Amino acid sequence: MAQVDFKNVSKRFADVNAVVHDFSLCVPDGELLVLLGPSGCGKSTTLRLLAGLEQPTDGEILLDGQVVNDWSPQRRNVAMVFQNYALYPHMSVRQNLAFPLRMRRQPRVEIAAKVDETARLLELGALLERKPAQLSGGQRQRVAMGRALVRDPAVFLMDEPLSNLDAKLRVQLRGEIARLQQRLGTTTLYVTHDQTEAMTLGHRVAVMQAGVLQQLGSPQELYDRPSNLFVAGFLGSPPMNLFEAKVQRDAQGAFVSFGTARVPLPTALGADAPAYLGLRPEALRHDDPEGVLPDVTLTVLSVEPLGYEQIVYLTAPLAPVASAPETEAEVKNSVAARLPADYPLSAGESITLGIDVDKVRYFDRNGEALG
Amino acid sequence: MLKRISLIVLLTLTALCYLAPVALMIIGSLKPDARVLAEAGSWLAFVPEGATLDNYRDVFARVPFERYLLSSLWINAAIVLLGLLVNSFAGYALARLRWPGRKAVLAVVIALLVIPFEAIAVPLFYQLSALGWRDDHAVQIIPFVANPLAIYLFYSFFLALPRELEEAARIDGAGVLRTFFTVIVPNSKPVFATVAIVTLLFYWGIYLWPLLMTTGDHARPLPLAIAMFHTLPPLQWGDIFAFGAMMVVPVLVLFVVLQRWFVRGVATAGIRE
Amino acid sequence: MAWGSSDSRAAGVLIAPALAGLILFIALPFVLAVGMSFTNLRLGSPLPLEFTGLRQYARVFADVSVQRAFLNNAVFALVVVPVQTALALLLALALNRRVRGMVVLRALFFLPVIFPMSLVAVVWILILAPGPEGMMNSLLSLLSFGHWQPRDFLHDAMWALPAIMLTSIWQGVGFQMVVLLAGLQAIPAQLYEAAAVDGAARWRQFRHVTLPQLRNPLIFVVVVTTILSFRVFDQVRIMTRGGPNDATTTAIFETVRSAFDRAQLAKAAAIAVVFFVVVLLLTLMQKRLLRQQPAPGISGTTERPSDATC
Repeated sequence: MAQVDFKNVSKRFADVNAVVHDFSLCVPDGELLVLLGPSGCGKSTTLRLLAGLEQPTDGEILLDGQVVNDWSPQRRNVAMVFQNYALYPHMSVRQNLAFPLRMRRQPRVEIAAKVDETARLLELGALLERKPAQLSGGQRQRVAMGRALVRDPAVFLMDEPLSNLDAKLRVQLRGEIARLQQRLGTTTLYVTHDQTEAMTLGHRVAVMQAGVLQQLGSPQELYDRPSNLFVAGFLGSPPMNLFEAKVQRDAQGAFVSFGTARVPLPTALGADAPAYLGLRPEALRHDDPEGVLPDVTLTVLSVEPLGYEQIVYLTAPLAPVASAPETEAEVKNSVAARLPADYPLSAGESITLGIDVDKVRYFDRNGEALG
Repeated sequence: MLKRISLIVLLTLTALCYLAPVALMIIGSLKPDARVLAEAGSWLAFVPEGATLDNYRDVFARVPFERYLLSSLWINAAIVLLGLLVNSFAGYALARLRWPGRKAVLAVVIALLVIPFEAIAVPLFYQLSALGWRDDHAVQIIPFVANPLAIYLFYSFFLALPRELEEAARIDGAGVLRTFFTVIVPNSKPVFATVAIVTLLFYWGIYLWPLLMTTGDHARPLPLAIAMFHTLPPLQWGDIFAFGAMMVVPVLVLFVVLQRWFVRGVATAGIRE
Repeated sequence: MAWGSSDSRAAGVLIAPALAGLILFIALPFVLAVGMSFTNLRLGSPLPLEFTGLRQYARVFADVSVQRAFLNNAVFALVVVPVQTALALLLALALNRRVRGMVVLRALFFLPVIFPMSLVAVVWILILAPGPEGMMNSLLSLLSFGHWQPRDFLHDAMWALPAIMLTSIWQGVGFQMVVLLAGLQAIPAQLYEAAAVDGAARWRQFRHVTLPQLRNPLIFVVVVTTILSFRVFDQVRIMTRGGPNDATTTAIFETVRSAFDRAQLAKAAAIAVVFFVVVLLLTLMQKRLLRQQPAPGISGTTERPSDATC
């Protein structure tokens, strides 16, 4: 069991910009922390720095308060599950599981007992004599997990452990990882680019982009109060609608026009003038019979029915901001709304929606969240 | 189907013609000396009529064949085994470890690849005999252990192995050498086979170096011994062929057992670029 | 990956034996050869050792035997390379079929490669024996319906070099065949299927699919055989000793002869250096050819989604 600290850690490879830049993070004992970000954001490098597979250019990495920068991987007592599992192809499942214990020169009897116990925990009993090539993807993943937890490491590191599996298996194993982690209580760092995995698994989630930690918080905090435009545009499916905002003033105070709707600025913003406005798709509401909310009439561009709800893309009344690169599926220059599926809509129709003013988020010129 | 069969028949006939010199040698080795030359110009060359093993007995009576054979076996086994160890170590250090001077050493290895042995045989001969080192087995082994081509083959193979395997081993608690022997070597059988076979094919037939280096029978290997046996009067072709037939046996056995690896080894060494 | 100083220490241990061997037994003698070639070094000579600049090279280039040696090497290459490559390609194409028994046939054609050249040379001395009872003579006589005049191939200024070439081709063709066969088997079947769908007949498939795809193995085979042509020594020394009248002498044969028969070390070194330059040029040519235009391959079929790791 261990606490992990990153203190102002940077990693530069020769002649390349920093892959990880001034990264600070504390993971308390027993937490499952997810590092989330698009590919190339530095999240895997961060994990490898902790494993001892890379050495930081600057800063300190601590395990239980001890600086481990110079420690070899074998000394750190961390275990890692790799994306491609990295099972030793020439060894049986049993030998794979025993390998970390053999390297630690544990007595034969103890090794055998540990391997059996781990195999039972992960239901690998029937597979012990097989070679990795004779296993399915899900079984390999389980063996990789087993090899990591067989030696009671101080920290679990998981680098995209589920991304080579099909969707159904991924959901199943996701649940298993969560239960195992809860049961063992081992501090875990989990790297993924999949926001669903991050939201469902992480006690807390750290969002990274371009080597910089963007936001750290519980999944709900990240979703409700993204700290900047990147996080807002990265999380959610479809992600937050983001627009350039022009602040106007009248007798009732400052506001932003969203088509015909007058969206009043919250007083909490104070003197800061927002440059951008963000609306989650569920902030556009169809169920406002009393007309309490400011409303706007928009034309339907396209509809994605999802069974229990529908994602409706509508003409954008303001200039949209290009969001994160992974969300290209959305219809360009549009605003997405998440609406119940009980009334059919089709392209070209007009529809009047209320704006849930409390759910509107504001960002300054630099993209940082306001309020 | 007919086309296929006729192709196979044609190819088999071609192969038989192509291997006529081999047949000539084997069948000749079983005949009385005088008949070998006399019958070489007719079909009788391929008829082992009156076969006898006398020639084989004569070889042992005339020269210490067993000594040549042991010399060759010992020299080649040592070059191959030491070479596998030394060159795979070097290839691994170049491919996977980070150390100052790595790039420079890699450049040296690649530069040395271009130098053919024949270009340095004479100066190497003088360099070593100036030290009084010649006419033993070691002088036919030690200079050939480190081999730039072998290092390069190992280097390229290790470079292509998934890095995670070693990383997993390091995290699981293995040091550099342990990782190499427990994880890398068992997963690199093809490159070890390729290097072993390419090395063997070259040094099993090496002639120039023992010609320069050996003066007596003490450390003389087979390729030089057959050439000298050929010029040893009286000229008896049956004996020469018996000598030849015996000297190909060790590699022939290896070839038959490991045929797939031979072909694959040569091919990978061939298309490495 | 980095493990800092422990990595460096391990690397030092791992690289040291190989590096020592490379320096002592390849780099040093090479430097020695270059150095010696600029002196008048001669064993047992009363003259003091002195630096003579390029004089050895002048001697070497003016030496008729050496000229003949390099000419022989060039002729050897000009004949053996195309003939051997063509034969190897033909064999590879014929043997590139998934039929039972092909493995055995391939092994048979590869067999001479495992024979030491010195043994091959000795066997071929008998095949090329003079007089009508020589195997080659009687075969040629049979093929020409008795019009062939038996000759002593290895002592005939016109026939000695071709005889050595034939011996060399016999021993070496299997090696090339295996390399080309591997190249053929690496060609994706889809390319032939695509060509067939596009209506290309056999010959056009060969011309537009096989040959371009075989480009790199072919370049390799051609260059390696060319270099080997300049390294020829064993067969010459055993079959003809360079004769008759230098008709079969080669660069390496001249090196050894200068060094050992005449004790002219400096001259031997100079020939070796010239030989090395030739090999170097051939190697550079190969690198250039290979770089110019990689064989077109199939793209896109094995690509994975780019977003896998971070």
